[in-house]
Amino acid sequence: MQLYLDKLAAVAKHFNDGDSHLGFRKLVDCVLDTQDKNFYKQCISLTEWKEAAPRSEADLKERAMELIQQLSTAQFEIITDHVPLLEVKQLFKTYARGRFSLGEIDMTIHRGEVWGLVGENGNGKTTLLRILAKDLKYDRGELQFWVDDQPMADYDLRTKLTYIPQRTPKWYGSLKSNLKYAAAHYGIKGEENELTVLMWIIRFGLWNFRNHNWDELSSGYKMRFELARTFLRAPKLLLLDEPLANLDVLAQQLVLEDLRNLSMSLSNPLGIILSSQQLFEVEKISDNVLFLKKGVPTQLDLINSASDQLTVVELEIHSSRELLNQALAAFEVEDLKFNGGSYVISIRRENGMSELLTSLIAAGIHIQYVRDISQSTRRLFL
Amino acid sequence: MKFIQKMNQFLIENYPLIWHTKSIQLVVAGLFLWAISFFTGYFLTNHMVIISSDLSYLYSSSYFVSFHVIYGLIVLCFWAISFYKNNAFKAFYPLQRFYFVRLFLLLFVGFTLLISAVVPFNAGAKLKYRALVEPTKFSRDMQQLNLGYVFLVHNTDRYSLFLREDLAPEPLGYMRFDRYKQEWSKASDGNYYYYNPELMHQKYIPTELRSLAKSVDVQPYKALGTMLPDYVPADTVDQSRIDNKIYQFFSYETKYETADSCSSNRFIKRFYKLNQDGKLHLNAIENVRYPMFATFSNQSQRFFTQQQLPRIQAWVRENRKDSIQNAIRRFQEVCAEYGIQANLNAKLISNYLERKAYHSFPQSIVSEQANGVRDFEARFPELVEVLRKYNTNQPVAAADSSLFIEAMQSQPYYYFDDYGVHHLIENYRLAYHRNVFEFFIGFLIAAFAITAFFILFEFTNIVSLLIAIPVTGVVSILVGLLLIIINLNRVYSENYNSHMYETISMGIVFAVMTLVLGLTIVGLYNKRFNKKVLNVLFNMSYFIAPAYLLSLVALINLASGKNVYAYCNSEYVYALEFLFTPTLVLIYLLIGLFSFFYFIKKWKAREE
Repeated sequence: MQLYLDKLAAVAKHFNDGDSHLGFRKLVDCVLDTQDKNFYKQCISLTEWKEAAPRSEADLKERAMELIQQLSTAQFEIITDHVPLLEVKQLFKTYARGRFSLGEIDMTIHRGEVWGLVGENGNGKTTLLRILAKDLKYDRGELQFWVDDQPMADYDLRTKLTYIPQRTPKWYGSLKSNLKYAAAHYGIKGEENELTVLMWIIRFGLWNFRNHNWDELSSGYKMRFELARTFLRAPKLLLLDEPLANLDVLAQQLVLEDLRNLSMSLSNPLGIILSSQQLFEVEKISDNVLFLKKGVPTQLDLINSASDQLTVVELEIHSSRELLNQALAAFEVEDLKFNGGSYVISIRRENGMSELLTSLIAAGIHIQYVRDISQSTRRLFL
Repeated sequence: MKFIQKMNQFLIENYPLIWHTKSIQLVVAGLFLWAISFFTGYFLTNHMVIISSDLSYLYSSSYFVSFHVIYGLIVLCFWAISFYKNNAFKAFYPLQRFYFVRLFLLLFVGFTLLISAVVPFNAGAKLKYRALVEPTKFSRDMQQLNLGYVFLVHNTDRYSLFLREDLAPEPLGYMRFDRYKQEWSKASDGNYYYYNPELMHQKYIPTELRSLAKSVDVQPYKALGTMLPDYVPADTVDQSRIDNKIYQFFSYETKYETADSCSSNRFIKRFYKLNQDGKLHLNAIENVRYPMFATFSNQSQRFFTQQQLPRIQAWVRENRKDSIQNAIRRFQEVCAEYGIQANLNAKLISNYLERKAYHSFPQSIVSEQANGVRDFEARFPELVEVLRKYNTNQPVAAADSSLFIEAMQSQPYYYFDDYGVHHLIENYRLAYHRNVFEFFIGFLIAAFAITAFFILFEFTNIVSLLIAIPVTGVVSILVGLLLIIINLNRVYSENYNSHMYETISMGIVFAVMTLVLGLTIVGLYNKRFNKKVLNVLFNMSYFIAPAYLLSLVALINLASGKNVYAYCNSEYVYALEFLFTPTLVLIYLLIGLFSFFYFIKKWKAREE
């Protein structure tokens, strides 16, 4: 239970530091971890109180701390074994009458792991996700699922593989009734249904929208609804196709952070594969990143092994090329490219970012943007 | 509203399928319709209705049928909008065991209620009829009507000497010689043929029998059919003259040619001369032998023959005008009690019957309806005074008396609503002896079709369905053309075996159904099979599957057909004919559909 207590302590710290929004979200995660109806009720009651009128930080902190105190007594089973959920071996598929092929792809997704799937448009990300969701057939290779103890019929397997496509279908009725309907099908009945649904509504910040219908929600909230619906299903493996596509920058960060936290749930850790164009954001939360170029996978660790001595930096400056060359004179420059907007500089030095920055500042170069992309798939897009 | 919200809340949390199907709302709407329908049937039925229309058709002839259609469509629209809002199957939610069977049954109940409003409507009408008409009294009233009706000379075809068992101890036959033009002609086969222009068919007597019949009066006289041919040798038997027409009476015995033959012959056993000094008449009230208004023919006939007919004959023979008048008056009173229109003058009618000596009525004297009767006075003003005199027992001149008879015969002056009584009786049978659920199985089959139709949209995708419809059409046309080509032989051949062609046609239809279903199943289990083609096949199979078992049973039944000779006909006897009751047909449809449901999940989960 130490993991859980540490998590609670982190929540308390967020409140103490004044990060009540973050603290509250993580508090809800802790409540969900307990899977205890009484704690659900208290959390819902706290949310009702919080949303009923503007509350001061101090009041919120006080009530949250009370709940944290009570939560510390909770007992539940913590799942720590991060077993494999999906193993893909030499997966290969051709389509568009043989004009495009995907693979071969090898990957193993474990419980609690997040995989990022990146690549330009039309390079097979959605196809791969649909294959993994058993929506598309493949030509050869192996696809092995361990999402349930028992071997399952195809339909039953698909009930476990929660796949959220880029364009989610329209739904009818209120947000809450849709969630309740989904929950009931997953065996969450009676009072538990109401409480669980409300908890996920709270978790994804949908409290004030719970009685809205599809037309009344923005794209961001529609995605949140889809996530809430998906998490109600207690998925083992979650497949997300461009979940950030219609979200603003803030919402993107929020959703990614939520996914990261939820994947590491103590009572139901899950594997997540998500595709996105938001490279840096995805990389931030992913344990592994698979880059697809014309259907062929390239894993970052392969690049790293080939160029582990390089520091690669993406740089935007308001100074001349000559000044930049002067600043780089002290380094062994492997490559320097300018794409019209930014420079990509590769210097033969491991972890050389600090030295490079010092040199640039010393040369009086006005830096607008700089990012170390040595470990990023961004390099693969260049 | 709070109750509905609470109910919805409860259902969505605990019984998502019931919430999804909105079956409770559907059943409530159906029960509401049944309640309205019952009360409408009850309140629409009144004294006038039970004598003016058949209660079986009251529903379809009333405005309620329009209400039913509109109500049904509105409920169906609201239900469909609500039903298709959520779809657990398409969202890949886990489904209960037998999800589609449960779905079907939930909708089936609602749809059955919604389309079968005629059942409670008839039940309401039936209940009201029972409240209006008490069976014991009704039975008595019918006896009164039957007694009085005999003297109304409503239809002269009712008199027949065939019915006069008292004239001969055995079945009595007679032939009338001068009724139709008769011609005997000898055909090339040596037989004599007799042409009866009224009956429009031919009968024959074999030549040798004709000669036998000529020789001895007790020789078997062979005739075919229900009426004897009009050949009776004049020189061997006595003929009777009745109402100036020549008849030959005889007793006969019916014999079949062989034990299993339907071809029967009547053998004359004995000829009779029945002309009893001019006392026997054909169209005579004495010859009435059956009651006009019968709730149950056997029972009414027995009572009429045993109880009423002897009284009638006694009244006629003894010219008991007072009794006859009472019977007619009582007839009118009974009509009045039920609101049946009747304009009868017992005295005048009895006078007329007396003057006609209770026989030889050229036509009806009482009309079935008032139309055309009321303008009688305008058309025959000179008769009004004569009728008035008869009515008031004033002396009437001999000429006037003839005028009176002529008037009575030329156009009925009196009427009663014959249809009113018939409606009353028909409705009595409905109210007391028919089950309103008699045709309920038909509604169940219709509800089956409606339910299956709506479930289709629960799982299919519209594009595949839209492709499947014309493909099914093309396949049907091709099968149809094939059947036409095969069956052309039936049209051009005189000696075709109808049963064989029916079996072959059914076999082809069954083979095509098997092919489509077989391909679908192969596609489901073979991952290389194109999913788009499979989608189309799957939609086609959905229409085929329910009928598949039925077709199989029909095919086996047809194939089992054997030509059996029984009585006069050879007919095909089928081994499985007993398996085609409406209930069993519904069961076949259900088995077919429910079996198909098994494959839906597999089809849905199949990768593209």
